[in-house]
Amino acid sequence: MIKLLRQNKTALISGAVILVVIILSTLAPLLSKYSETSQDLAHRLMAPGNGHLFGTDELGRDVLTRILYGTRVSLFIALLPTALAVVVGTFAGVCSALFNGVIDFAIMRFADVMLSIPGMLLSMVVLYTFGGSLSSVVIALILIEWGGIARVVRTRALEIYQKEYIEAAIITGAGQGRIIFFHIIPNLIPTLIVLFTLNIPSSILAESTLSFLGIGIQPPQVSLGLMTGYSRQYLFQMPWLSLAPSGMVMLLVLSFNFLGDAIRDILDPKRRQL
Amino acid sequence: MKELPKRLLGIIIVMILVIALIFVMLRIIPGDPASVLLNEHVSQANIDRLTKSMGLDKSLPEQFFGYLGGVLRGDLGQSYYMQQPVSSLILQAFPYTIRLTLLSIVFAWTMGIVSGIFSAMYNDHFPDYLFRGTALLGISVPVFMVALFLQYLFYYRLSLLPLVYDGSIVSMILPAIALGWNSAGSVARLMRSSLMDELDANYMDTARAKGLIYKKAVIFHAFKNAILPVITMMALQLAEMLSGAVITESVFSIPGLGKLALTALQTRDMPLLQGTVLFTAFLIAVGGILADFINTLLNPRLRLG
Amino acid sequence: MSDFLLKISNLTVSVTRNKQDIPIVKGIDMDIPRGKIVGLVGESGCGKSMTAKSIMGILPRSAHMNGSILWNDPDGSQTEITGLKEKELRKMCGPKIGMVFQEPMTSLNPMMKIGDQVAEVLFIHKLVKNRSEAKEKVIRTLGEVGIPEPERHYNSYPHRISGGMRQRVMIAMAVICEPSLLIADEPTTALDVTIEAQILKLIRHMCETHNMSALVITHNMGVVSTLCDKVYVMYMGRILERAPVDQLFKTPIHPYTRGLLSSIPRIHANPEYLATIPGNTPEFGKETVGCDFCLRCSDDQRRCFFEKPKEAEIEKDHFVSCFSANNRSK
Repeated sequence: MIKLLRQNKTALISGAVILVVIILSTLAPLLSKYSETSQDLAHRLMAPGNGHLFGTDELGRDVLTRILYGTRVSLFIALLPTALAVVVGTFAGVCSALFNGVIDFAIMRFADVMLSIPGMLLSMVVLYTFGGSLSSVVIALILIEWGGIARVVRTRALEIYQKEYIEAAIITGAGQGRIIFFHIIPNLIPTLIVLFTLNIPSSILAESTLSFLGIGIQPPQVSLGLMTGYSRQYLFQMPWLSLAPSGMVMLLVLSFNFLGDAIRDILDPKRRQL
Repeated sequence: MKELPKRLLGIIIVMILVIALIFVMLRIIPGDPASVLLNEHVSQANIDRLTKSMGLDKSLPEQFFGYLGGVLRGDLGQSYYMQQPVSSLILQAFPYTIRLTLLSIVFAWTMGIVSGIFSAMYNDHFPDYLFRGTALLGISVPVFMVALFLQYLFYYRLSLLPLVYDGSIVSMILPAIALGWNSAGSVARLMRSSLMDELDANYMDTARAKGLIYKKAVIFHAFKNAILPVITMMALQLAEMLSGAVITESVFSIPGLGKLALTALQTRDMPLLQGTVLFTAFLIAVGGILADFINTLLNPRLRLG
Repeated sequence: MSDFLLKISNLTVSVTRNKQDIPIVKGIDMDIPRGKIVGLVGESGCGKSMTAKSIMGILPRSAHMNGSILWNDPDGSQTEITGLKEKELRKMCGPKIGMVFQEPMTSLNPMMKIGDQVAEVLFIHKLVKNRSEAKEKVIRTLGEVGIPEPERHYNSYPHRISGGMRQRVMIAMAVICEPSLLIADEPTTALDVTIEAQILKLIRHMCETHNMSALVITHNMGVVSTLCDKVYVMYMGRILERAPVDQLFKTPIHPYTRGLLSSIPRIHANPEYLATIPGNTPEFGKETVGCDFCLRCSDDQRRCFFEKPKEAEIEKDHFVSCFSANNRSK
């Protein structure tokens, strides 16, 4: 009980951090008197202070404002592609579990293929085809993540499928659809929540990495990785320029990791590894 | 390894599917790769000639089977941009990546295993919190941030190590740490949870009843069992490391596979990108077999006879 | 008085859970005479295993103990086990005290050959000079505990042999240093009945041939009757009755002991009726003022609920903690 409480405490703290970050970045236009793209070439590369808490970048834009806007992108990336990957993965996993035989084989082989290509290189293939943009990154992330999710969901759905209450439902004449939506999906939900939270950090990291390399999100859109990539040239003279946006990535990922760990421990105590 | 032929067959199937998938994905958008390479002022005749020399005038299935046949002969096509066979470019880049990966695996495993053991043994005491926090930080930090931080600290502040790769093994240290940092975190976390399970195992009581002090019982008995899942993770780690290699090699200017793939993407060099992705998928498949093999070697329950 | 090998006085073990100390063993006294087999009987969770583990110093990390465990070595020296450091205590485990555990399936390390696991004891205590000497000794002991083809089985892994065989390996491991005391914690609980008899016979045989004492922990009165010389009946962390085995079986006094004895199924008994002790073991951590057994007792008296009965000797070497027995002895 104590242990659960303490884990909840870390969950509380990390949840609070995430909430604060969400509020701040949503209210960014109200909080900052600067715009994320307005340039001020007279005040380029200013040190922190003087109305700019984190200074200004190479085009005189306020770094703090840009970080808040970049955080919006990171949060968007944390939630949307991950959620879509969970939806796709669940669909594939449940189908695979229910229709064994050719469909199961095809889906699982397809997942194997996806998983046998390193995520970074798979996203590079996507970016080659669709060009660097936010939507390409979303597509790439779904492609990277759905396979792993499908595998776990399939195993879990098969476990559930063998439970007595499913058998009871079949005997009482429940149709396939009823079993899926009233019995299997509800029992999958804890697993899905865990999978969702565990995939958020990797989504954020992947986006910032791609943008850092200059092949993900393109200017004038703002991204924390992109900011770090551009500030790299001033690393030694103005380290805060790189530190601030990448530190924000770290803070986000760390909070989501803490939260994910806590949620997993509470929902799924027996399964330490997923 | 009775299962080896079966595994190999499975891998061949997956590899053919990988080729098919990449092949299709790179050609979803009906564009004319030849016209991308040449500028607008080139005559249509020249574009056609280039298209033909690239084999792009044939139908897609024809191209695919032509490519598949080439792969079997070890021919991955010709790089558009560098005007060299893709296979020889990959073979030039491969040694750098393998050196980098091996070095960072050594780093990640030493750090991860040692701190995982400490963490498990001092469960819920100060060292555990310290190592657990560090491990979580390890998996939460973006690779590029570690890389930049290391450059700032060890090159700029302390002047200890070179900024970028210059061919010497010393200049490989920072990239290896940057690349291994994430994996060290996940190894530590897995090692900790796996060892914690084993510490409660009945055979630990037996070992102590034999007269082993607790620490020795951990090292001689629990560790052997706890390391197995960590080895299974090795294959997974390899995929992550090859992903990370793209960024590490780019930050530290190492002419490895990751850099090659990035260049291919930036210069829209389709055969080169295709070849590199394929080759890394192949490396991961080999890594998977290797991990299985080591596991079978270590775990008597998987061994026959 | 000095013919005891091990003397436990006022031993308490408690487990910390949710920052609360839950007493598991509540001050027991016990002595194990030299060359005798002592049984410790009780239901699951009454603190038997904790008692054994506190002798070996292998309590779980959440548990802590108090009291005294005095070791009276055959060479005449006396050692207070509770005062020993981990390192010194480990030196006793093996050469002085050997232990056999409940679960032969999981008590052997799945990653090591059984021969090497037995030999490890010899190496830890530096009883052999080299590998070949160790191997020779291990094979001899494996043969002694009834493992067929010990040379071949030396190189087997635990998952390749049966439960009974694994328990034989555990016994070999426990006796190879010729300890003076063998602790067997539910040695046959996980085994088939036919194997159980063989293992009990083996333990008895090993004790006789090596002049060992033994502490056998069990919930099975049948095991006690075939194996032990002296019995301690434990309930809720306390000893309720202790006596030489013949006396206990002839004149059980405590209602709990009587219940345990009548719970042994007999072939000729009325098949419709399976004797049980009514009720369940109460939860740990809820300390009562009265007798621990009062809620399940068949002849409860008023005072049982308000007072703890003291231990009384009702015949020679036969002690009981029960008011009805106190009345009888008067």
